[in-house]
Amino acid sequence: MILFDGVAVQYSAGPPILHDVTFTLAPGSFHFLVGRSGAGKSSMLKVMYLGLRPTRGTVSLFGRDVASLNRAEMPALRRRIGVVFQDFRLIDHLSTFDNVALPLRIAGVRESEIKKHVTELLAWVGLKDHLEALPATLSGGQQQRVSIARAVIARPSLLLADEPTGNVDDVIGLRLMYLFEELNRLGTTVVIATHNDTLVSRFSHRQLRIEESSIRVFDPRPMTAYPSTTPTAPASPGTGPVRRPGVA
Amino acid sequence: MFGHSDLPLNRDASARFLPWIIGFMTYLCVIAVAASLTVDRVAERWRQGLAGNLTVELPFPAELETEKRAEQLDQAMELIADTPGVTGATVLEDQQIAALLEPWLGPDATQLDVPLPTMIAVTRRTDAVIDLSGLRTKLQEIVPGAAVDDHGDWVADALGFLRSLQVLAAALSALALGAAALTVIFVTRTGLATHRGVIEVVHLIGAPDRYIARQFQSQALKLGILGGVVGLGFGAATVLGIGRLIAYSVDAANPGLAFDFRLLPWQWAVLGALPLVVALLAMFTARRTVMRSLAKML
Repeated sequence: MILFDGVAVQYSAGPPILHDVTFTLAPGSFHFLVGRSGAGKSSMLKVMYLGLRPTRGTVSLFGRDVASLNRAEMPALRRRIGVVFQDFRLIDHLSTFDNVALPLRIAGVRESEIKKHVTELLAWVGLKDHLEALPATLSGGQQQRVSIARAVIARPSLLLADEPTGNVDDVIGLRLMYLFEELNRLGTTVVIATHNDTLVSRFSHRQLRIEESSIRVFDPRPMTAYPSTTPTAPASPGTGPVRRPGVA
Repeated sequence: MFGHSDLPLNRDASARFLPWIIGFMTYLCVIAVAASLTVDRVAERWRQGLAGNLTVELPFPAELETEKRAEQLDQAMELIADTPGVTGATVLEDQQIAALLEPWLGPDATQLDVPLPTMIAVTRRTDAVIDLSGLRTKLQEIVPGAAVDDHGDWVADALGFLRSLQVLAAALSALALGAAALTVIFVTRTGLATHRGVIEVVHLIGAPDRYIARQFQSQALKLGILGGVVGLGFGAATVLGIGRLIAYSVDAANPGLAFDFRLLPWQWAVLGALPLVVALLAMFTARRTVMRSLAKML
């Protein structure tokens, strides 16, 4: 699903944000992306959702080398990715309904279908009474739920969420996590960036830990950590470590 | 065509001034095209009106006796009538000659002590080729100094002038359309910069460039039609007004001079299509601008 091989990210002349990051994420896996604030979680997600080109290394998504993609091929790939941005990035002049409907409209889904699915999902995230509300009139937590609904409405193959529970209370946070798990059970690969240790410890999913600009994959179930310089990611949920691609 | 839009383009300041600019450019186009069409019609009418005519001028000496003058005039008329291709010849009365000279000599031209030549208006078949040189030589044997004029030089000069007016009108139209296109480019780029954040989100969600371009081009088409219709309205009113003013002035100063500024129905249809042309130009310009700009984004 996702392969990072020797990936580095550096902004202008600043220090490297990520350095020689190598891992693979299997289809249908669920990972937390953890690390201290400023460690590079958002940059890594940006690379994953094709919002940033790595300075060095190879990134492969859905079996395609991102560097080899031409511009016309990117939208189709992006439509397979749902993104929950840390700052929500809702479109201010669009209603809650229209913000959530956006991925479906871009995909060319019929309006009758859009109405049905969007209304249903917004009811599920507790926003059925705010269909016509503009983002500016919603609380931070409500905006976050709209952002999550927008990310999942088109049933993406890959869901990337940047601090998706940062602005909601525990009850809503748990509910959203169950939503992510449900999507994961239906086949969506999920990566959630968070610094909420309580949340991470509550769910026993693998962790991508960014430390010192590099990454370590940690699986709480076998309680084993693997350094990035050795074979790293599991091939599929529930299995042990696998070899780094291309390395015997 | 003007369906759902994710970008708030209709709230931009440009949405308020673009129709006026496009309207003004359409107005200029309407005036220029109307002038061109009218000039074309006038040129055709002059060409047709003069194609079947010759003018023969017989400068009888003042001291020539009346009988002798009548005899020479009869001979000349006979010669003209016998010329192949000629269908008729009429000697103009003094009052008719005075009317022709009135713009230069005033209403009392015949009362002035100025020797006026005898003028013969000759009509001919438009497909006939008359040996003007031979006719002139034979007439000069009857009346020394006789002249034959088929108006060719005058028509060529007049048509040349009218053609240059048409070139001027075409240049003005091209300039107006060019200015409209430049304005659309400027407005579109401003819109792209203003809504960069939204465009980025829509892109990341998976919208192809054409999805975003469609919103800009719809907006440009809508504003183009609005401005175009306003420009056409003012332009049509101006064309009608100028037509009436010119018709009134020309009629008052020079009745009979064919300078009709009224347009034919098909010419009005051409003018009616101009807003659509301008709107389509705006639409394609916006689309091209967006596609080129987005190609530089990730």
